[in-house]
Amino acid sequence: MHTRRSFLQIGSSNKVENKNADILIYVFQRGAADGLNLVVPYGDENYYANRPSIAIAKPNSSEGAALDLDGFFGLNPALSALLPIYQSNDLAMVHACGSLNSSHSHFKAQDDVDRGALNQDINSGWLARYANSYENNDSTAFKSVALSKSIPKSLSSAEQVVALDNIASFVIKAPESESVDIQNNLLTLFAGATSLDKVAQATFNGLEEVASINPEDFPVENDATYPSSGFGNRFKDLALLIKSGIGVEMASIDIGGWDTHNDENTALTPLAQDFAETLATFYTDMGDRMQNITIIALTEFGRRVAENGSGGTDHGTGNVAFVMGGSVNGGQVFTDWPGLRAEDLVGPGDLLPTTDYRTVIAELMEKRMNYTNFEELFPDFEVPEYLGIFKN
Amino acid sequence: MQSNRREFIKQASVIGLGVGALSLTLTPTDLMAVNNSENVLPDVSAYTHLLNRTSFGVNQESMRMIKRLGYRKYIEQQLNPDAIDDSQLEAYIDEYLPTVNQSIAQTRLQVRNDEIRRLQVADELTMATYLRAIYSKKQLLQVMVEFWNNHFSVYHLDGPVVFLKTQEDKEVMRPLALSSFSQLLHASAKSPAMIYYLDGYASTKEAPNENYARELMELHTLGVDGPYTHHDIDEVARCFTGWQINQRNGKFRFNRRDHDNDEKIVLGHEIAKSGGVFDGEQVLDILATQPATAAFMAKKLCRHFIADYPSDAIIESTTDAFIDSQGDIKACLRHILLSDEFINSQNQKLKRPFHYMVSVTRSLNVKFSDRRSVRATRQMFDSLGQRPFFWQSPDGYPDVASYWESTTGMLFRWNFVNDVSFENFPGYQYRLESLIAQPHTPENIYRQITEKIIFRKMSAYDESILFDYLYDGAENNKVSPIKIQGALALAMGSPYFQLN
Repeated sequence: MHTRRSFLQIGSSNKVENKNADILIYVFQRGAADGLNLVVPYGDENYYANRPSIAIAKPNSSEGAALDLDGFFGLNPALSALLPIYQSNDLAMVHACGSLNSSHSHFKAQDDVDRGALNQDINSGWLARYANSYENNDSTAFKSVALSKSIPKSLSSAEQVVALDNIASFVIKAPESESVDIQNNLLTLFAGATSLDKVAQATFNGLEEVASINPEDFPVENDATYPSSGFGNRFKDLALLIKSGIGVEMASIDIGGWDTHNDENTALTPLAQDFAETLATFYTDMGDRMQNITIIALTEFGRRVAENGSGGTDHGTGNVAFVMGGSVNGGQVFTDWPGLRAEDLVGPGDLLPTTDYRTVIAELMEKRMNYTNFEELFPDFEVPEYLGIFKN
Repeated sequence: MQSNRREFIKQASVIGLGVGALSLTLTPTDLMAVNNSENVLPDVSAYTHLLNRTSFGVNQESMRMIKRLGYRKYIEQQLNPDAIDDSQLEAYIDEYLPTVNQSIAQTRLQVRNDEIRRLQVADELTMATYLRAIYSKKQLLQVMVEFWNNHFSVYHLDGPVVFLKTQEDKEVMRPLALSSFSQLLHASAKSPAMIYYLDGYASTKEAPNENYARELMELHTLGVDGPYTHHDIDEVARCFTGWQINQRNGKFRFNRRDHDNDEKIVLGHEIAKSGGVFDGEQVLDILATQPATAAFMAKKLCRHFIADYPSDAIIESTTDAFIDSQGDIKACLRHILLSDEFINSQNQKLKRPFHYMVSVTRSLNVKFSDRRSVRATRQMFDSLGQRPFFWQSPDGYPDVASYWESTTGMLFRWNFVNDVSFENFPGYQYRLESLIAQPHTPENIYRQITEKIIFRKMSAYDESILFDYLYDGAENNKVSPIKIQGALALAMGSPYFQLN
């Protein structure tokens, strides 16, 4: 292993080292998850006035009621798997989080969050800018991993990134007698210096590394069982990659389907369950490793405070973000709650974002990733005082 | 210096850098260390280049055609697709993919009666699109149909779009792909698939919906940096109120009761009151003739046909061609395809996955032997991330390599070409013996690969890689079929076939 690793290193450069950073996992809930029905402001009467048919009931009031978090917010019962983690202070939420300048268009808003900027001239992802800022002598091709078919915008322009849809299919298919020859020859056919050559080389690096992992050596631990969903499988694969020591320093995973314009709770309940059970399983599976792993889950924007005519919600602004890991000052919902009276809302009736999502990322980056070059990371954002979400 | 690299690799394999489970002779890092900026692919012939960009892959038939007609006449032939005979292909589609040509009402009835599944309707259009890309002789038409389907992108599984898209493809994209931009824009605006997808159907004078108005200007005409304001979006939305879908037959219907008939101002133009359906039509005329629209479309066409980041000069001259011809698509294509910048743009585009898959099947002259191919093809589109009509947001599949260059993307391209070449792809068959003629000597096989499969020469160094592979698999100078298949897979998996 040691010998080979030396071949797979990225190479020398003048970049700074960044040892002792957490493994950062960036989850994107694509489609705009409804934060108001996930982390329910049950202490705000206007929540119920705005959502007569889809509100989650106050704790202990009925079946399907919210699970109390702090006397004001409650957890959607579909997220119950996250409650023990919250109670053991490794999970926190940030409410009324988002961007005041958020577009109401999914793809524009996702693009902005992934790039960490509104300025259209910035093409790279914020995670990529961080990844490119440093280089450790033991960094590998797996420094940044996207558990997906293509590279998400957040990792766009990263110098080293592996997109891996799932481990089982990350293998080259050819008849056994030809397999090695085909790979060797493809590798030499892509030996140049173009971006395509580099991607091909990264693919071979990845193939070789993944092929060297014996999944049985890294079983799921602590009696955890991942949901058999796409999201669950991706976290299961990510856990295996991290345990194998392949060199994951940051990862990006998406979970889609949150665009609940109609009959919201029917769609939201199973999705929220999948989200919560997957994260909780990962937390259990990783055990003590969670001391050096931080997960942040964001979505592009929140949803309208008032429900619409079809039992759903339309595109809004402010929302909830989740952060999880041993480094989190958990067991609390961080918020400067703006209220839900008509005069408290912005735009067409949206929750006012009182905490920019980049404030949360910035604190995470400074306290857990040893990174403070915020002019580079968020070029059109002035980072305000932190909320105290992370331990140093 | 190619030979230097070759030398290095030889030495490297002698001293045994190979390590790891796969016994790779070299690690990619070693190769990067050699890093030769001279690794420029040799140019292809002008004919191959033109066919690469104006078709979904060169095959023997198209090469024969361009050799007979010459460069300019081939372009003219392709710009006049009505004179090209595709009747055999269309008869096949009619027989095996019946929903592609039948009315929405009929298809809906069949779905209601459980005669066909709803998703089969989507599959049939997907497969018809794939088959036309592979077998049609009207290749430039197919390329432009893809271009417009992507420019006016809708998501196939967005409610009734699964039915409406079939109609839109048949009545808007195919007949108008080589018409004028203005005609396409008008037809798209009245296309029920678009009206549903961008919420126009729910846009009334009481509650105008901005979605179509915004994307019409941002994505279809002026571009995101175009000369319009949020107020223009509001006004355009009002102009299109009442543009709806006739529930009975799935056609466009203008509902006067839902239309805001007051006057509006769009980009400084006054839209007089009581204009009815003419309001929206005027907006389309205004937008189609804006210089910003010409520049936006010129850039998009140049990006598609020339390079991911075409020069300002070619964008400007194409913009002029667009304006001078009132948005005539043929005139723009002629301008681009005859430009020096186009001719000198070799190897600058990466085939997108759909294009790549089609070009493999075209080169091998694949025939589909059974229905397993439908599911396997759909899954491969999904694995590679480009199923036709499946981009969910209205901006269409990206047309730059940076989006498509990913490790998984690379791997699945290789796995597709390996599976097809080694005849392991469900329902795909090709005839190796008629594709690669005897004698099966390494030289003769290599020559045929360059002349009939990739239609270009390789560098001396890369040529030697293929030769070594073939020699290793030869007995008495005769290469075994599996090695020939392997050589096909290597050639089509290489940059020579991925880059366009």
